Amino acid sequence: MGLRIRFIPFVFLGGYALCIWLMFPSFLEVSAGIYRDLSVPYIGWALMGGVIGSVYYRYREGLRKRIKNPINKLGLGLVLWLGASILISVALGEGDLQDRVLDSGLIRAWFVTMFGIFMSAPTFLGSYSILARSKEVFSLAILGLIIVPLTCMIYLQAQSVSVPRQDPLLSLITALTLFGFVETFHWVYKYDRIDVQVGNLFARQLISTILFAGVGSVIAFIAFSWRSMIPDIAAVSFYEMDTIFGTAAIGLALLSPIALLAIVRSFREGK
Amino acid sequence: MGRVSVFSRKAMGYGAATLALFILSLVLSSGLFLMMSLIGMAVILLSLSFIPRKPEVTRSMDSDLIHEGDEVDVELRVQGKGGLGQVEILDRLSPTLRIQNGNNHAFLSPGERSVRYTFGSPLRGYHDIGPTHVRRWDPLWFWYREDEYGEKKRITTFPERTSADMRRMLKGPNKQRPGDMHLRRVGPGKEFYSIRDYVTTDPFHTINWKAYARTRKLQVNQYEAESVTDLMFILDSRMVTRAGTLIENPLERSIRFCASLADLYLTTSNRVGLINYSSSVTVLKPEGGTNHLTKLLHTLTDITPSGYHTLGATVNYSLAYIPPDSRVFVLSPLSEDPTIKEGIKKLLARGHNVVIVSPSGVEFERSVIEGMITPRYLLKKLSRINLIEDLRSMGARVLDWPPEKDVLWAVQEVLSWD
Amino acid sequence: MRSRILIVFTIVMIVSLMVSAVMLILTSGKGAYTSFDGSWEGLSDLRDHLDDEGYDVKVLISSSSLLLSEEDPEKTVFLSLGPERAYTLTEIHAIGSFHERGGRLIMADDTGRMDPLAERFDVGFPSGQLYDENFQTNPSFVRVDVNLADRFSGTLLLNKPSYLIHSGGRVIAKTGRSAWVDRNGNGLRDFDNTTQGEPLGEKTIAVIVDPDFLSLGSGCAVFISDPSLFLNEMIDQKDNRKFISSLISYLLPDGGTIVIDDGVHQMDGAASVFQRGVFGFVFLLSDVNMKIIIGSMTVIIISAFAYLFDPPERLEHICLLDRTGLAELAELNLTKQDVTEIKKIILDRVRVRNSLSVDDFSKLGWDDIRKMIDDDRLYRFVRSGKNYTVEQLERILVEVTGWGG
Repeated sequence: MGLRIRFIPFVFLGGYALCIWLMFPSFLEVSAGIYRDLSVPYIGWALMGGVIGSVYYRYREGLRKRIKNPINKLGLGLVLWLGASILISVALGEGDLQDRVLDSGLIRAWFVTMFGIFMSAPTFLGSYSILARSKEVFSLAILGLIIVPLTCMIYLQAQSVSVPRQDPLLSLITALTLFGFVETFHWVYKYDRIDVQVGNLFARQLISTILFAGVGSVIAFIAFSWRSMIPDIAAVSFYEMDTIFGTAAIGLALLSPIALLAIVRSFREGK
Repeated sequence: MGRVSVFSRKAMGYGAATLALFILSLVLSSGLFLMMSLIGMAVILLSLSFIPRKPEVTRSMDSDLIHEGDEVDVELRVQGKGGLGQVEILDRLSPTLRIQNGNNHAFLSPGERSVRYTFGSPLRGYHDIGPTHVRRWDPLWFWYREDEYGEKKRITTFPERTSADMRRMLKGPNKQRPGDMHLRRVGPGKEFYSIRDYVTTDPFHTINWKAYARTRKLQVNQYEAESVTDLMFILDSRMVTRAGTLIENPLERSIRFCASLADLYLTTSNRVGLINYSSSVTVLKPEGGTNHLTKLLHTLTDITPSGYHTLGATVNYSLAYIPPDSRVFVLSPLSEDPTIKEGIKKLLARGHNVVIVSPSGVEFERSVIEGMITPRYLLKKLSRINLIEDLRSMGARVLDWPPEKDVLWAVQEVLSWD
Repeated sequence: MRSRILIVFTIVMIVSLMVSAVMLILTSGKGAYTSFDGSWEGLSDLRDHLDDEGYDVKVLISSSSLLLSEEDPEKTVFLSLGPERAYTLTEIHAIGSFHERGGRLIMADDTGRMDPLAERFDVGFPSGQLYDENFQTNPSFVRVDVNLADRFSGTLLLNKPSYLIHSGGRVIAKTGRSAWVDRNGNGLRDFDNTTQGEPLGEKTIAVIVDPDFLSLGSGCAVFISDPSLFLNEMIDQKDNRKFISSLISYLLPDGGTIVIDDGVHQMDGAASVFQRGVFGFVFLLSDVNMKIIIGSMTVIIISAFAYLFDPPERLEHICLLDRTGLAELAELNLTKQDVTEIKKIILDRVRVRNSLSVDDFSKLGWDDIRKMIDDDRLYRFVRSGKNYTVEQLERILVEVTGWGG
């Protein structure tokens, strides 16, 4: 017996998806680039991915018995679908070749499907990795979870030729949910159930995680809001300090004592 | 091995992601990515700063000389200072030892701790325990420092002997066992029988000096004759004899049989010798006593299957070491050796009482392939049946030993032939 | 614990000292048109003046491409004076975007290096020094009247100014009719020819490109053909200081931030090392082309490291006791090479069944053996045994298994 802790990373995964949804209200502009009336918010794609991932895990054995290599076959199917769509559009469409392809409803439907798959893939992989306790799938999930906001940022910057503002507090919460997902996945991977044998180790790791994340959050928050904390003096009136570079420099400066402490400790440990 | 510092896959993942996010945050002017990377960096650096101090580790163990099937209790004491981080400990055991209770691999919090476990040794041999590896991890499992404590310690596992059961069987009626029999006549022995006058061929140490002091005449002791049986084991330990599992195969069965019977005969004042053929032929000359039993058990413990020597060549080489009229036990699965009949014939021609104890190699192998009856199995089985019948017709006694029968059964069968 | 605190304290002190040292070096950097230079050709006086007027003055020492991430352009003035290098495409793009989002620009140049940027605003800086009969002491010091949208009017004293050409916008400072431009730099006015030479005429000194920016809520760009009026030596001449104050308050009626571009000027001494380093770093990460390359390379290199990384060996007890091995049954099925052995098995069974020795059996003829076998198929196999398939051999073997009891 023991306490199953598998639900905890699910909470953080859902929290992260929620934060991304709040962080990028113009996500719908991104999906509108694929299809004008595609008005599914990111949280919708994320929930869908999470549910499908859990269902797939539950029925994976039966699915694999019926269909060998289902993921490979799905990929092949998508490629064939695109090929068929292009051929049909070219054969039956109107106008010149370029117009036939660009205006094709079939091809647009394919793009919408691909967009849906890419948007729901991170949470699909995330939920599957928690249930299957698979580090390989987890790594892909993290990559996907970072690519979603990356895509939004690149798209929006290219569109508006400017950098949209990101609220520091919401950014902090989003970062902490991702960190929480990573750490709690590792708890599940290492312990799965918490009982008397691992209870002490788990408690210690939990305390350490909270402590270090707390310090990290304070450092990150100070880096973003240091301006309001110190009086304006001529010596720090460089414009770079108000940009992301300045914030990064402050963050690194705040981290440097910890870095040097780690180096000093490792040298002392090495003797 | 000295200290080693190693980063885990988690550290590499964190480090790579943090660095990528940091650079992407500057490229994209993204506060979100910068926040993620700063938190990641802080977590990594803080965790790297907290690693437990090196503890002291001592091991205590029941015994280092055991028999197959015995268990040994081990206790590891870890003495260190408390703090953040984890200590991972592995007391290295030879892969031929099995953990019965507890675990030799443990994760502990720093401080004064102890780890207890029990291991069993189902296979004879010289097994190693230690050194003890200790990994001191940071709190979030990013990196560790590894140290080794102690040297390798050797555990000797003798082959299993079923002597106790056999002795009970020996007390049964209508069984005459040659052994330490007093014959009421003068002969080689240890018990004093009589005195006679000295002749020049008498050994000097047999002179009875007390009698000389009394009678001023040189007189020698005479002893009561004893009947002592010579037993010679010819053990096949070629590569082919290890087919089956590591614990149950023709060689292990043969060795247990040899150890059991040797124990019985040596404790009843007989002499036992061993000829072992594998990649070479080694001979342990027949002797008696408990010291010789220990020597024999060590020899059996040390055997490793190898080589492709033949019985015929072995017999040719070692005939000189086999005392005349001694009983010869040939322990072999009788596989892949075209010289078996020739070797047995030679032994029989010399007048030896030859008993062939043959654990069936094909049956052991068939148990590995889940009992499948394959064409090749039929071929080998038929070949074996023919060979056994031939050997019997030559005058040897052959025990066709199936895997499901244990050593006690084999010994009982063999002894019942006397 | 105490030693740990001591170590942290020491490290914090060292880091603080290093940061302070860097700041000190940067703020003591000197060079023409740089904000911290207190000599005649510096802008320290301007910076202090604007600071005293309540504006938030910031110095940009790297690249103006950072303006892309400016969050409040409508309350920010970007001030670029006499650049020593041309703006890169990314910087031009960033300044243009800043302007489009409501940013205020004051661009003053007499070198022509600002032309690629000024073209976006239909403004040009032709080469040649401007001269006018209306000068003070020295023909290089030209006096020019300025009228800033009815907020300020006065006289500017310029030092070796140029002039600018524009289409549209509102002129706020221009010369009289007696001004001319020394195109060939010989210090003399050449032929009075309208298509060649250096004719007399009015020349524009300063223009506001977006005069209705307040009502439209758009950005505003002001171009001035002489940056020297901002220098320490010139700022107190005539109405230069008042003009600057009025211009800034015109662009930022509710206050705001002023960003002085020192990135286009070279600092001297140790400060230049830091400046070049920061510029290079910012350029690598903000230039459009470099962004893609750096971003992609970072991801590829880090992914490669992560892929190639060999994780440490797991500590665990490996038990090999369940290992198995095969010898005679390694090959499960029969092959054609087993024909001889099958024949031998059959013959041995016959011999043993009839209690014959090997010698006696070898003396028998085939007829006798045939009778003993008593099975034609098996006899034929034993006698010839050629060209049997593996399946046939298996059938024979099964037959032999049940044969003879």
